[in-house]
Amino acid sequence: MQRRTAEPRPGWQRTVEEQGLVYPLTRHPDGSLRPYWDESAYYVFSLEEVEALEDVVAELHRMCLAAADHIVAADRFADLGITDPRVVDAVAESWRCRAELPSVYGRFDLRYDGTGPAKLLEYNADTPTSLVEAASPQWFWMEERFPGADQWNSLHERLVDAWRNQAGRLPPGSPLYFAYSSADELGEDLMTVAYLKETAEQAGLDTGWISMEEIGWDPLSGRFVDTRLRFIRSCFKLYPWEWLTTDRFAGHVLDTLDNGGGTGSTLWIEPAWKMLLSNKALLAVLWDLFPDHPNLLPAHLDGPRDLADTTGYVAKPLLGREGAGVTVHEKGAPAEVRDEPCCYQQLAPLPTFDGNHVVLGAWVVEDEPAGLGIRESSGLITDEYARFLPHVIL
Amino acid sequence: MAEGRRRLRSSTVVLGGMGVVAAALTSCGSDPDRRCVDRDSYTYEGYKVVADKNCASGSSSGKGRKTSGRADAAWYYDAEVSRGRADQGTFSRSEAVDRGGFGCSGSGGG
Repeated sequence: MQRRTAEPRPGWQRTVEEQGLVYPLTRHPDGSLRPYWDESAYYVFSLEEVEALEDVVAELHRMCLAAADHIVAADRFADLGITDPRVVDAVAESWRCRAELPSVYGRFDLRYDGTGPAKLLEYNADTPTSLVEAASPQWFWMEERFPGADQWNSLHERLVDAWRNQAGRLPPGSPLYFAYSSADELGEDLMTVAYLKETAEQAGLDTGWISMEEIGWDPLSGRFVDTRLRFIRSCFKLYPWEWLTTDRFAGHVLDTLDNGGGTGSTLWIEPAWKMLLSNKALLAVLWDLFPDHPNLLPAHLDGPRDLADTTGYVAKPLLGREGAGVTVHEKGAPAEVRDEPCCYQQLAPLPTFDGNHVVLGAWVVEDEPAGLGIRESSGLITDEYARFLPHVIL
Repeated sequence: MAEGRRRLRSSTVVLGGMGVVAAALTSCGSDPDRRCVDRDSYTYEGYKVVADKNCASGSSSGKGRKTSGRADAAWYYDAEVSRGRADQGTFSRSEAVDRGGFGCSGSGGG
């Protein structure tokens, strides 16, 4: 794993915009606009490295499914902060019926520096973004800069295949809606949903388009409807389940939930059982089930335990997104148990390459490793100001 | 053995209509879609849509608000509107489609 600098392609901004990355710049707190897509450098991997990472991702995904199974079987929902009995029932039923429920993708965030084993930082299994840049502009960048080279990136093909393979799990005779939240002003959610809709269309699915805010509840039919009063029978949502189950319409979601096989009138993708994986408590459950696994970091729910004195730790709110609420505690700092439910994970500082902190986003599509996206940040926490850099296998 | 080497990349990436995606501007209110119509104007094409000022704001019905020469105006919910006529809706606020029950929490992705 190497970082190499390069001269960005002339007109790169327009190029990547045309390739679906409609927000290649990020507005920073000081008001400045800086590139989010950053091709002034790229990463190089060997095939052996990537194949080893693929194996890690496949194994981590299997372990996460085992952890989900354990959470349901041992009724550990309370550890995840899921206490509403109706939500518990919906998630448990969703897990039992998962063979009938469409499930498309997820992203592992890994700490990896090219030397030791990759370590799992978290699993974004419900509403992952940074998909478009990994699947499309990164692929075209390789085509242009390294024609004929390889890249860990079969995302596009696998996404199209995933929709095609799972089309039979969708309710027939009505479009699959793609919903984003219009509260996302950066356009990232919109872009991600637009890209996924595109892959579904390429798989031959009939699709529709709506914002979460526009989704209506028709009290007469007791159904969710679109802006023209057509029933929403199935919906891909880039909208976390913890909001879907707490918003004003939460009761309607649960009342009408199609948890596979037409058991209700609205089916949501990703399915409800993804709540088990996207919750940071998963990290502690994994450590319980697979202690000392080389690709896991020690993690606990009741506090940092010995991590405060031995390695330092990171406290992650169970439902935080894009680094929000994460606090870093260096070794020797007092052990603090925070008021909000957190997962306390061993501090494993992100490796630096040329002064940039690097995190690997490893994609899973339909339970298979599918690709890689690399983000760099200035600090230890990868937040919304991170930059995306392409990679190539040489 | 180069031909036999396993490839980890998509063989091709095709993008179609993503460029035309437009962000819909939506509000977080829960008011249903409504038109002010003249209740006395029904034809096979529906009710005549009149200016909002004819319907008292916040009222689900224009009843009792008729003034001399004014239309018998009322809010008409969830109608199909075409050529200034609204049809297939309801005058009952409680029967109207409820929106804005999702969202307004922030960005969903991570």
